[in-house]
Amino acid sequence: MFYKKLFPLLIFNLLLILREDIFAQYIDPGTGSYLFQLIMAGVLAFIFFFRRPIMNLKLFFKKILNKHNKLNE
Amino acid sequence: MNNIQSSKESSSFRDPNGYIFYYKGEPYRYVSMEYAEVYQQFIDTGLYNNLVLNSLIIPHEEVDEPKINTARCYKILKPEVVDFISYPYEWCFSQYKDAALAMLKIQKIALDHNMSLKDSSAFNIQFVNGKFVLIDTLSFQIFEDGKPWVAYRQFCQHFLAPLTLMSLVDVRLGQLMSNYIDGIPLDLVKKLLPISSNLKFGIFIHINLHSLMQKKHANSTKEKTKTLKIFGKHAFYGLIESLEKSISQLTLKSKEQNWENYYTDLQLDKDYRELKIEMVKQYLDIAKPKKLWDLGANTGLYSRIAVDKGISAISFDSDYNCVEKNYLLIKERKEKNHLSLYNDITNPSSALGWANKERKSLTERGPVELILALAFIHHLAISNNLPFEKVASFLSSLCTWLIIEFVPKSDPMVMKLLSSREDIFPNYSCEEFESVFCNYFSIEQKYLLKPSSRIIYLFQRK
Repeated sequence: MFYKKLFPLLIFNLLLILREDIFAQYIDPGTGSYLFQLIMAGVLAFIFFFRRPIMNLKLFFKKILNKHNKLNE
Repeated sequence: MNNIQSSKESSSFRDPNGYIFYYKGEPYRYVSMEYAEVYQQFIDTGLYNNLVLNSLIIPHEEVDEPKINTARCYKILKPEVVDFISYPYEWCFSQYKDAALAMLKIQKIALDHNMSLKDSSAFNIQFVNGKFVLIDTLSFQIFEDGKPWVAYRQFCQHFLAPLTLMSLVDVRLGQLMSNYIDGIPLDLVKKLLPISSNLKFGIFIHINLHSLMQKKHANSTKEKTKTLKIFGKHAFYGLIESLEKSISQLTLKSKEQNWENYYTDLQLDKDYRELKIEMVKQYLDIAKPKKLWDLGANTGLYSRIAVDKGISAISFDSDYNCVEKNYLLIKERKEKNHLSLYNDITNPSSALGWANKERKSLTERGPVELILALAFIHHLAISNNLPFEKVASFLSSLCTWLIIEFVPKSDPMVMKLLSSREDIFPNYSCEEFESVFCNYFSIEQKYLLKPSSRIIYLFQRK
């Protein structure tokens, strides 16, 4: 209940803070699209930081697995 | 130069920082004084050179002529001319996907140079010399830490939305881009997508959740205050990489359609095909065009004869699978002078946008020196009830030379077309065809393509 009341207030405050940036553009970035990126910022930064290490880790294990399979053959 | 307004490109009016105009028939780009700092950063940081080296932007020259009589003019640029402007609703799935990935690559390189795309319209990307390049040099702004991507909504609506629909629902939904010139609304995309699309993380985030957020804030009001720096550069890179991954994972459902296997059809005799190829080669040697359009090109077998002779060809077909197959062949053969596009000639791309002048119709993007219309006339005359008179008049408005194949009623393909309908075409004959076409063209050559009863003509406009 508390969060339900807090969320619109948080969005409203973000809107107040960001209005100038949004309306200074010559194409309409769309308020929802603009705010959506801000809300997703953490997830997006996580993607950037951890995608490559995770992929490298996957590749590393894949290589080990392939070596192991070849040795068994 | 004072009458610049009259020579302005009709689609170039949205960006206050500059526009395209024509001088002595050549396109030029006006850069306003307000954009000077950004333009200089674009050049000085090496972003422009990097993009040119990677064939991701149209190269330009800074020129002194023509002079614009205004103090607000910072530079005049002379961009390389794009031979043919194609539109997103004319692209097949793989073309669209390559265009989207090119746009994201540009954005990534821009970020490396502390700049960012301020718009990401699919209409700003064109197929030039076998690659998709950005044609709007003024699409950049200086990157400001903390601010999200202003062109995110536009990218999702112009690229991700049509590609997702083409991939997960039906490839023909790419045509929605002609209805929604500023991109397909995400709420509509969400409605059209199957529930299972939520299982794809990228689609769930960038389409479904994004659409809900747009809906929630559709009627927000304006206020002014300071910037909060919470959208860092890492988040920006993350956003671009997430979009890249979402688009890369989209594939086309393989679905065989009518005309994709036309050339391998058993009904089409090998001797007939070889003779037809030989005749097309001979006729091209007579007409010597520099550019041609192939209407009803299928997978581009005959366009390719011209391409191999160094002629620029545009292959049009109304079957998405054919356009797709042709495009993949173009990529495989690295054909720089060949473009494969979707277009239904019975309903060609029309003029769209503001005052019907923003996006040109197909005919406005002509004429062309030569048109190839092989095994095509029976589809127009019999499947679409088009009188020869209308076809001849239309084609004569578009080209000087015409290579056209007449398919008689005795041909198995025409018999197939007539098998399910009443024959209401008493005038569909070779004699009538010649008589009508000779009102607009003169016959330069004609040849019977044995063992079939089809005739191939080389016409020249009168």
